[in-house]
This record gives sequence, structure tokens and C-alpha cells, in this order.
Amino acid sequence: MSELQMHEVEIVAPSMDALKEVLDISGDLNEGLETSLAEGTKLTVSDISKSSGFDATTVILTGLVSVAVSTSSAILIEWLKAKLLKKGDKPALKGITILIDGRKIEISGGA
Amino acid sequence: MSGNDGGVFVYHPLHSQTPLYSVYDTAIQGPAPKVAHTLSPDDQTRLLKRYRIHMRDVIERRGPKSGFDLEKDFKDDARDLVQRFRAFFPALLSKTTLTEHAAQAAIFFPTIECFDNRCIEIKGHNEAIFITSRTLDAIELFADTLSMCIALNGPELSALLALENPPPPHVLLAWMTMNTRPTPDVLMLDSVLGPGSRRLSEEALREELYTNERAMKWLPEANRNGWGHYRLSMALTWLMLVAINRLVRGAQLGGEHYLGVTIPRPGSTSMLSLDSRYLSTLILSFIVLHEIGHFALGHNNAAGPPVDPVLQKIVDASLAHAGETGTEAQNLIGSFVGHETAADGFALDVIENEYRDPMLEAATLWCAALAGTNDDCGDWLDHFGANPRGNYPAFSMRVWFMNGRFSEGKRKGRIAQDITRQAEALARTIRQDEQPARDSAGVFLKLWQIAEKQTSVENELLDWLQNQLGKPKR
Repeated sequence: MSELQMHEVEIVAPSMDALKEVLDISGDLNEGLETSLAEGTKLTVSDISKSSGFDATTVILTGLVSVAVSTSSAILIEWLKAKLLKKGDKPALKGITILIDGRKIEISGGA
Repeated sequence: MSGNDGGVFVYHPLHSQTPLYSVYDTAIQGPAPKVAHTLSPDDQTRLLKRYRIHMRDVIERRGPKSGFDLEKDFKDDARDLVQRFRAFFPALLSKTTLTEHAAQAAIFFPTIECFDNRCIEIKGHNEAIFITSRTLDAIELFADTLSMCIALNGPELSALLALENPPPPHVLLAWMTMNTRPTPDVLMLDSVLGPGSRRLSEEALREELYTNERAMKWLPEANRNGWGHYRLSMALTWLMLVAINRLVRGAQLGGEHYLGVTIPRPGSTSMLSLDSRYLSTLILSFIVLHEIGHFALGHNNAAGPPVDPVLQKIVDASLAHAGETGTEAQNLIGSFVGHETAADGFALDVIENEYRDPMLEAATLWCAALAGTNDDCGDWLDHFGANPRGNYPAFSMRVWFMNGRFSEGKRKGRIAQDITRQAEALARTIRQDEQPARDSAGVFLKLWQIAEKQTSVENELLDWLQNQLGKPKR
């Protein structure tokens, strides 16, 4: 059995639909859900919190991503970045912030 | 209710002779409640932590850019408005259909220079409402200014109405100044609000407002004071609305220069007055009821609240019909427009009929003051049509919705329509006035000082004496 590295992930999105799009999930997105992300990485959703403010709604997903030691965590970051960038005729996702172990993923160029 | 002035119906449900004002007045005379909430320390810690996570996004967009640490600078605002609210809200709840659970809702007023109101809940760990101190600042600025404008215009209403032939069918006292600057500038507000006005002294501004020959020569002597008051109140309201627009849109836009200028104004037994503390407490109560509405209607459920199957069938049928006829229909179940208007509706619906009208007036006035603050300038129907499920409802749309659903009695019909139109007009024009904030705030301060002098007791006595002696007013 291969060893796993665990990373805390937090995704802030303007809606559940946007969150599902980032994670490529078509069905229900609930606490406890386990889903595969990039190759060798798996997300376990610990909590989903939604709050409507004065001018916008934020949906925050927190979870743990397990990454096989044989896989670099850079793959996960690149996979998430790719989800945020414009792809083909699909517009870039707006208002999404992703933090891995408290560090924000920055997108530079391309979008 | 309301009263009559020379045969003209004066609509002003925020006066001090209503059942709701009595509830308010009795409640705030009593002792302040000792406990603000009943959360366990564990629930409180969890809810505050969750709030900070949600607010991080808001502060990045609209908050103070430096010198603020959400983790360590979390203090509760304890200003007089908060104390009044805590005394009044349980009494208000006794006039609603809500259960005791609503009275136990934890409400925090974090000191944050960023306009925001929201509710947070964590399954198994309760729920809490958070209203920032910047929101309280904006509410007080609004209520104080509107109260001052009514103090200026109320006593002069007869003189102002005498200028109109035929007289209007009704006067909406609190809305008299909640309007756009007229085009052409028949009130000559450019001379008071234009770029050159910042250099004018208080005395010169007073001269301009009350004795300017161009403005006054066509007016009978007896109407000049009232006309001056009206111009002053229009200028005050306009600058206040510009300030609120800036305060709400972000911490870097200079709206804070306007804070600390106004002071609360008491009402009187006159039906043509407005107690600013009462109005600010009502607005805050409406915001809290709106947030309770989000809880009650399940809007915070990540998967969305349960959908009424009958409603779903109606929506499905409407969408199918639109498809067949080539028209357009939108499913607003679960949309932002659906949630926000439902929470507004909830806040007013739970209040017993007898107490609702003042709250409806306070809620619509407040939403009109916020028109254009959330990228919702212009026509609300266009704003909605641009992204029916993704856009928040424009504030003028919320005024339209609340008026349409809850206006009763005299308010129903023309009055509600006029109020909606005024809110729509504000949404179209509020962002057109982008003078440097500090300059405008200086003018606002001078205008406020003039208004204070004009409405002081001494002044009222002097006016009364002058009237008795048959001399013209100043």
C-alpha cells in the first residue's frame, strides 16, 4: 500500500454550481463525498458552508486531499489551476479562490 | 397612517402616533437585556471562525486594504443603536408570528469598516447573524439625515403646497427628498452642490439657499423660508445618498468622511416629524428579520432548500409554455433573486398587520437608499435580464417587490407606484455624482450646521413670534 500525503483544501465559490464545475462533479456535492481529482489524488469533503451576504453569496468547501507520495502535489495544483483557466469556448471561472494548506493558488497569465 | 394638510393626504407611517412606535417607546424605556445570545462557547467559536472565512472574501473585495486583521481585531460594536435594538427586538417579535427560537438568535455587530450583513449556520452548532459596524454607520447617517429633512419640511408643508396649483393628490413626507436632482435644475442645487460650493462659507451657502434673488424673486414672501428649507433638505439628502453609496461600495471611496457629522434627532408628538433613533432601529430590525428569513427558508443549505412540488409544477408548466410560444420564462427557484426577495417577504410577512406599514416604509426607504450600490445602477429589469439566476436583485427591484406584495390601504396604488418610481430613478442617477468625497463631505457638514440652526428651538420660537407680529420669516 502506497503512503499518502494529506493536504487541507478550501475552495471559495459564488455558488454550488461553480463549485461543482471546478471539481468536475455532476451529481450531488455533499459532506463526506469522496471524489478523484487529478491522477493519484482524492478529495474528501469535510464541510460545505453557504452564506448570503449583502452583495454576494459565498459557498465554501473544506476538505482533505490525499496525494500518493509517488505523485507530486504540484500535479494537484496544476490540475486545479487548469480548472480555473478558460478552456475552449468555456469562459474562465470567476470568483473562485482555492487555498491548499492555507496558501492561495495564484493564476498568472493565460486566463 | 398619516394626516391631511389643507386637503392633501400626507403619507407618513413613521410618525410617533402608531402602535409600532408605542411598542418601540415602551421597550427602549425598559432595562437593557443582560444576555445578547445563548450560544455555548464551543458554538460561538465555531460560528465566528466560519464567519471569518466568509468575510475574508468580502474584505478582499470591499474592505479596508491594510491595518485590519480579521483574526485579532474582532470586537463587538456596542453603540446606542445596538442597545436600542436589543431592547426593541424581543418586543417586536411579540408582534410577529415567529416562535421563541427567533428571540434566541445570536446577533453580533463586529467592528469592521466594511458594509456587510449575513447569517451563518453550522449543522448541530446553531446559527448566528452578523451585521458590521459600517452597516450601522450607514443606517445612522441615513436615519439622521432623513429625520432632519422632515424637521425642515414638515412645518413648512402648507407653504410648500401653496406653491402648487393644483395641489398634488398626496405628499410622501419621508420620500419628499428621496429623489433625483431635477433636470433642468429648477431647485438650483448646482449652486449648492457644484464643484464651486466647497469654497463657500456656511454663511454664503445659507445666503444661496434662503435669500438668493434668482431663486426667491418669483416667490411670495411667505413661501421663501419653506422653499429654502426644501432646497437645503434636497441637497442634504443627495449628499447623504452619495455618501452611503460610497460607504457600501468600499472602504477606500471616501464615504467615511461623512461620518460623525450628523446626530440623532428626536421626533415629536407632531405627525409631521420623525424620530431618527426609531427609524434606525426599525431598519436594523428589518435587516435582522431578513437574515432570520434566510435561516427559516433554508437558504443556507448547500443543496438548496426543499422545493414546494406545487410551485415546481407551476414553474415547469410556465417554462414549457414559454418554449411552445417562443417567449421567455425564468426559473427563479433557488436563484439569488428568489432568495433575497423571499427573505424580504418573510421579514414583512411575519409582522402582524397592525404593525407592518411603518416597517414596510422603513424597509423600502432603506432599499431605495442602497439603490445602485451593488452594480445595480440603471433599470432593474435590464439588470435582472442580464443574468436572471446569477445576479442579486437590484435594490430598486426589492422596493418594487415589497411595495407590490405588502402595500395596503392608502399606500396601495398610486403611493406605492410613486415610491417605486423614485427608487428606480435613484438607481439610474446615483453614480453620476462623483465629486471628490472630502470636498462633498465639507459641504455636507456646512449644510448640516445650517439645518441644525434652522430647526433649533430658538429658531422655531423666533419664527413663531415673527408670524404673530406679521413680520416675514428670515
